[in-house]
Amino acid sequence: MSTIYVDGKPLTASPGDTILDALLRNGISHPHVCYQAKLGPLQTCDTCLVAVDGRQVRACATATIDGMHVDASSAGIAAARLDRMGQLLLNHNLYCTVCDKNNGDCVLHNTALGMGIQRHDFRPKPYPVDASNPFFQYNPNQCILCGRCVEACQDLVVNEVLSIDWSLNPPRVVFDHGKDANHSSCVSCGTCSTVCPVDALLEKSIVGEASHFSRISAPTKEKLVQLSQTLIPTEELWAISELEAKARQASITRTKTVCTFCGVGCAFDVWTRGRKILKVMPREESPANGLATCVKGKFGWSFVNSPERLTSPLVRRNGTFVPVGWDEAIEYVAQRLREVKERHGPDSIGVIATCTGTDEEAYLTQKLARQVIGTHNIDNCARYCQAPASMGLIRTVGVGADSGNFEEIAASDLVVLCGTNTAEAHPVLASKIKRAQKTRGQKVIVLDVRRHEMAERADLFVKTAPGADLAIANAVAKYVLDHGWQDRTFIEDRTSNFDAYVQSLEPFTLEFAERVSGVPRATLVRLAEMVHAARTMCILWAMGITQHGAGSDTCTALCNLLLLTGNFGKPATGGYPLRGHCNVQGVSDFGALPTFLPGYQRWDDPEVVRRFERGWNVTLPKKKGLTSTEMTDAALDGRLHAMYIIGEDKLLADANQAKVAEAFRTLDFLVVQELFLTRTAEFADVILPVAASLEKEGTFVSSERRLQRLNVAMPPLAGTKTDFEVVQRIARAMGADWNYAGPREVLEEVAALTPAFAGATWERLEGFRSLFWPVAASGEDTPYLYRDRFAFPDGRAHFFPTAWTEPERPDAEYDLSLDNGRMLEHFHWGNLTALSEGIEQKVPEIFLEISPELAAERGIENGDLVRVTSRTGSLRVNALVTKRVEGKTLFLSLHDAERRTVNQLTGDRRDPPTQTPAYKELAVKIEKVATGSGAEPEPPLPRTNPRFATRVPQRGVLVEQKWARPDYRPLGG
Amino acid sequence: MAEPIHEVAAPATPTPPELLAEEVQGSKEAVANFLELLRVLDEQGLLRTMTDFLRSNEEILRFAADWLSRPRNLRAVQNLRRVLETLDRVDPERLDRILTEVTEAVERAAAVEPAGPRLGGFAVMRQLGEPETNRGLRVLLAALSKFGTVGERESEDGS
Ligand code: SF4
Ligand code: SF4
Ligand code: SF4
Ligand code: FES
Repeated sequence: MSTIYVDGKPLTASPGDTILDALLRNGISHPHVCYQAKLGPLQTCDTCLVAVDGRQVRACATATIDGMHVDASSAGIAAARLDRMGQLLLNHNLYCTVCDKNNGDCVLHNTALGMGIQRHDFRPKPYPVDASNPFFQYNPNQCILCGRCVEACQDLVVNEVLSIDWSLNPPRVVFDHGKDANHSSCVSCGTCSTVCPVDALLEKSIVGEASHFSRISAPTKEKLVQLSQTLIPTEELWAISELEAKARQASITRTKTVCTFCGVGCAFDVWTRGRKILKVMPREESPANGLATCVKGKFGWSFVNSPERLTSPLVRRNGTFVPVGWDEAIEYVAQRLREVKERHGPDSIGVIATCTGTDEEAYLTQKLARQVIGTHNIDNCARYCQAPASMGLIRTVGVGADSGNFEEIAASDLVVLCGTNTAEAHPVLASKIKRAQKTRGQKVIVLDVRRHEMAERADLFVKTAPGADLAIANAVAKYVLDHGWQDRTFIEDRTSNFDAYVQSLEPFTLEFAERVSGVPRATLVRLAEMVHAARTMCILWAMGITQHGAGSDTCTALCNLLLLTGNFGKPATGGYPLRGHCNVQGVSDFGALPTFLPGYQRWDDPEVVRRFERGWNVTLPKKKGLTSTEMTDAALDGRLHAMYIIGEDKLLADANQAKVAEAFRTLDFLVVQELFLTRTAEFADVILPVAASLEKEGTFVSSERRLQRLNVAMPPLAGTKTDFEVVQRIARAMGADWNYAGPREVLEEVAALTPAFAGATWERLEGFRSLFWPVAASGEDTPYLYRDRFAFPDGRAHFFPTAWTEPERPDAEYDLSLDNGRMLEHFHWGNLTALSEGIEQKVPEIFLEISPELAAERGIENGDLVRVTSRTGSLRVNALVTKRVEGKTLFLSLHDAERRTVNQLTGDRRDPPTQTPAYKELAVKIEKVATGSGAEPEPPLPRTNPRFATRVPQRGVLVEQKWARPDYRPLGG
Repeated sequence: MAEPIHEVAAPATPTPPELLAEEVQGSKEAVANFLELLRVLDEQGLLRTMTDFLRSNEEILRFAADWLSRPRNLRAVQNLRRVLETLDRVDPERLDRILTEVTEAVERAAAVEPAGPRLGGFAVMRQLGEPETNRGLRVLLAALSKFGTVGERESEDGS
């Protein structure tokens, strides 16, 4: 702590504080426009000037020194600030009353008001509004050139699109050095519009919606603005705009929620008026994401008000779905489930919990299965993705979840990304890695079959063959051992079974790994050397690792490597399976798994069973439950007669679609709970229409084990109900004595039965607060696991030896290997994102990525229609020739719900311990069916997709170039 | 054997809007006129403005009441309203003259100093953020809360 003297008064300053920090921390308001805490000092606005020793300095960028004397309020320095504000306002028309930004949080409005600006000159810029991007617009006329957007785009989310061209007269923000926004490399993450302090970068969804006067006709508005130029700002008109802004705030509701898409867990306020979504605003205190979002979280919410939503329960009668009332539907479901249970026993029913519902809904769903129906046949979509990751972690360190949090990843020396297209599938997490790499030299290694964005950015890109990662991990481990680079102390003090592990590595020579993975020996050595050189390492992985015949073993091998190098149980280390859905972590954590009760308490542990039997007043079933994939088999062989599927499009998600369809046909009774008439719902006997995440409250757990609360932004669409209410009503109709008033009560019940959530209370999750489980009763949470002990009885981590399993490889007939996965813009089958016009503009259809070499060899050009055939099925899709794939690897994204879904092709191969399908080991052949329709070969992806443009990296806003302009007046002395 | 169904049958029972439509058959014309009024109000954004101001909390009403109670502000608003009313009918050539007139009107208004201690618009607004720093405003607000609505206050003032 040091002391500075501001206008003679002493103030305490913390180490590293700037003068502005010290002022704000001490509750002294001081003008600052370009400064934003998450972005740091940009030094572009000069509105924060103070004088130190008679010299003007920027308070936002000047470090405090003990004993420093600061002149913050003398007439001279105040006049200097006013003068700088006047310079800034040359770039901005203060038409606040008609402006859609004036909602109480316009930085410029508030600062100008605070400084008492009475009159200002305005020089319009000779550039038109760029409204080409479907989601936001840039109005150069209103841009004060503060550079916040540039800093955010370049160094916060590191999408590297924006810069200010200081050489132009007047300067302006440019996309890719001068393209229109829609043709630039902009990925529409919206972060620039979030941080813009004025209405220059504005979400289109709020244009014309916020101001009471913004819907008046354009010519009238124009006149009004002219009028305001003559009259404004005078005190009176300021007051009108304040009054009007306050009235706006009364009608705009801001509700904190958590994103419904991927597992990053971005939290934000959603601004609504009634059911209209005005915009999504992440906040500084958003724990996982700060100010960042991706295009889906920021702009992908049209589905909530889509006319395609189901609004009445539907019952299958005479070959059609007939709308019925809720009472009738619930009674019918309960009666049919009871009948099946009576005739075939409780284990003839399978239940799937939704991984987009809340934790409390997941808990009720598994309780319905176990307590009311009487079966452990309860699973969720983690089965299709990260179940092998949990297996690998449970085998080695004991807890089947990310061992740390995103801050550990960002702080690590080395991040190894295996089989994860992070920049597209978990974009906000990718930004943290990109930022660490760009701003402080974090090293990044990527192992993947495909050259995606993170591969392009990697310090080392290891292009592997599908399913070969286990060999690479083990060969690197062996190399580390052979050179004596293992962390001996850690192994000695904190692990067991080391010798067996060492022995198991014997076959994994560099030669062997090179042969099965195609990775040159020198690259493997480089990889091992980088692992050795890093003081701390995090390994992140996703479906490219898990969805293989040896998925569990590969995850295990990665965990072993982390143990070998001492990279568990301390900051900036650990293993991180990246979760795909917003709450796929939580739905598993809260017990919707066949072999675990809530909090990963084993279904067959007598103590656990006793506790739940007492808590639920029931005798728990004794038979091991079926996984989701096993339920498909069981339906086909007559063991399963009914299924209750909540919020999962199983037909599209499970492998071998024809087989799943057959299983559905075989069932006696199928209930599907959904927002839309999905492909799975089409097979249902009863469809129950439910609420979207914005329409309900509860908690989610994100990929980093972070519990967060979501709140009701709008009531459930008329005719729909929350999953919570529906599950409770079915349980009651089946005779259960459930009377939960809401999720809070459920969370309390979970806390009482589950040590991992003992201290997870509703209050501790208020607002933007969050907790990493396990949460002790005291409320202390766990940002990273295993600090003191691993989750085994002896407290030691366990090396778990693995052996090589040959993956399914192409052969003479099926000579190519097909990879599949996500694209940034869409989510899964597009059930939600395809309802966003803007997203559809950017990616209207899916396509087959094919390498230039293969395309040339097969005479295939951009846009040609190609038939892809596997041993299981075939589909037709247009080709896109791209270097993202090499040689004989093809890539098909998941985002189609109709005739081009990858699971028409996938087969029955699974990872034995988890029964997760080997989606990513798929041998196919292709043939050209037709030439593309255009005169020239045209890719099946619009030119406005950012993949066609090149990013333009730079560090920040380059304010020195502003200072070097002849029209810039240097700070006075 | 449950084959997939791609369509949903039309609901057998009438939807709430249909029921409403049946009910209002008798007074069709009046309802149509009313709806037209709502539509126009909505199109102009006025419906929302009205709703928002009605829904606005005490604080805004008090602030407005205080602010409007100052004669020059009232006149400024009257001026502004007249301008807004005429603006849509104005052709561009006449705009300059109107602007001049309005400016003069506001300047005339500004020349009239309100009686009593002056509470500046800026001060009022700062108060809203930092209520504890201006006792004057609090006194005014307290007085306002006693008087209730603007109308009552005006009649108390005898204006
Ligand atoms: S990528 Fe696009 S939307 Fe995101 S910050 Fe950059 S310019 Fe803005
Ligand atoms: S567009 Fe960018 S530079 Fe312009 S005002 Fe907004 S954040 Fe600042
Ligand atoms: S999809 Fe994922 S990264 Fe994108 S906003 Fe949602 S949680 Fe964040
Ligand atoms: S806030 Fe300090 S220069 Fe802008």
